[in-house]
Amino acid sequence: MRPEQWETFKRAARGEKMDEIPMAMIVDSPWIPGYYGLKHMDYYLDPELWFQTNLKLHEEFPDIIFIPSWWMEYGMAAEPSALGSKIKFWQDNTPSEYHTLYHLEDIDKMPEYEVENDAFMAMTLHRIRMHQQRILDAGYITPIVTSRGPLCTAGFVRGTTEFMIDIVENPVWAHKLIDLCTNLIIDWLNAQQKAMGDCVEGLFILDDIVGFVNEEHYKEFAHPYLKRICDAFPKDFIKIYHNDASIEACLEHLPDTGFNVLNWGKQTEIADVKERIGDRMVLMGNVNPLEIAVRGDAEEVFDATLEVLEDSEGENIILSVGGGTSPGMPKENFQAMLDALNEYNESK
Amino acid sequence: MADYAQMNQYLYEGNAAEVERMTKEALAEGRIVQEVLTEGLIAGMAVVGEDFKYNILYVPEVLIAARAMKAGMAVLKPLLAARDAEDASNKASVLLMGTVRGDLHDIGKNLVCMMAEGAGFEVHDIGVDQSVEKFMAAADKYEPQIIGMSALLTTTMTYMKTVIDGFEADGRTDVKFAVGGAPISQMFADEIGADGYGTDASSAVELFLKFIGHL
Repeated sequence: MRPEQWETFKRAARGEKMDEIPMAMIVDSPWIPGYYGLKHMDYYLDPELWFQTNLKLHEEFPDIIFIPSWWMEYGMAAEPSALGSKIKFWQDNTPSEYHTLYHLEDIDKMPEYEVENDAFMAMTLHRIRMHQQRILDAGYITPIVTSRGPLCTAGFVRGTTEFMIDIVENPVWAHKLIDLCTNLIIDWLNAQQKAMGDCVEGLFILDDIVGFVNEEHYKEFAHPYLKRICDAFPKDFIKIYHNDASIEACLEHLPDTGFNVLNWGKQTEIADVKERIGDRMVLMGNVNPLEIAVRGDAEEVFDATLEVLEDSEGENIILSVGGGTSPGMPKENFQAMLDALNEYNESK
Repeated sequence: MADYAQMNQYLYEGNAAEVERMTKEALAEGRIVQEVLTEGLIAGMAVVGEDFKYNILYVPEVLIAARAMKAGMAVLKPLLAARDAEDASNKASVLLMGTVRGDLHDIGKNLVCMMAEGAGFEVHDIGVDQSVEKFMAAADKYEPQIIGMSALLTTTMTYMKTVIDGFEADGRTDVKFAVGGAPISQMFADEIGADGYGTDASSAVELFLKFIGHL
């Protein structure tokens, strides 16, 4: 994103009254290679192709704030790879992660992680350092560091089914694993900040697995760890949380973690979310990302966008889809969202 | 006398040891295997499924309950197999389940497998990251009436069509395809030619029961 876009996003994320509601989209490797007709393997492994593709993307959509800006990532591989998960790469798809922590007690035997040197974390940091100056020279900044969240990472490392059962039957060890993942995430975010430099003023955590557990389990196994991540960074950082699984059990508690912005899924209407948490978080959403944004035509996208904006009552909102940008979302549907936003902003 | 309400309650709470004990006790009392299965296990799992649908239970509790049901099923399985060997009309419908190629997520699939087993299906779970060839080989082996496919990622869901097209191209049209997973919708199921879509594990099992004419 450009520096002025970040200023806009920061103001919106802090709940300031905005003359114009901004539009922000989470774009990453599930969407970008397909949109530009590239193979995922080339997108990940050819540094020049990665740079030129992201430059093209930012030039093509100058009115959209991309979160977290230029995102150097290998799908969801970085965090689990540092804890020993098996990563499978595909020519035309994002990598898959396979758990290898078959016995929970083996956490104590795991080699100590080193975010600077381990697996896809090391490669990501190297790529960030390779391109940071070029990104700045092109007029863009990378103000947000990003990670999968503690439950998501634990699920990749342990296997989600096993991890969910651990929460009930082996809570002490489940805590140990989540604690390890939380430490890893904080170190990982700090390492990214170090590689990106002074421009970093925000963090972005993605954790859908939080949506799998009930309220009591959320309070015990998710909330303290999410809060610990937020607390590890300056109070005035912009903190964005993504969870497009269910937010029913955790919604009322989320504002107390320290996150400013919530990007949630299609399951819960924006009016509902507003009613339940008021202005305690800024809502980044939530046009249906698949049925509407990918499969709908421009008119349907336009109508659905207007509906979201009207239900938001124009306050504490950053327009987006309910989750990340899904593969196959066409340009005309981005434009339809922007057109609806412009119409709404003009009528405000 | 078999207390099926208590057995259902133990199952709901995920108390595998008690479910297993009560299953054995019911059989020892002379209860017929079908009754124990239906009233002791399937009825309990049905409540779990309903409560999951309405956010009363969440994923960990459902997994624990399903495991308790499996403990009871382990007791009943040899008896059910012997019964089916005598009278094929009793044989449970066969469900083949797998997560498609490129996708290593298994929790949704596992939930469906456990709940389908709780509803009386013979379930064969071929695991995650399964190619069309693997689905075909498993179909040859188990001869399912239904194939259920799961995907969590928008990037892998398209492979479901590859599987359905593969079966169709091979002339295998005698099996029903059901699809599910976070990014899947009825619209997508229709687009790829699936026979049905389940929004969650409970709905998936309802769909399977419809397929075999039990709903």
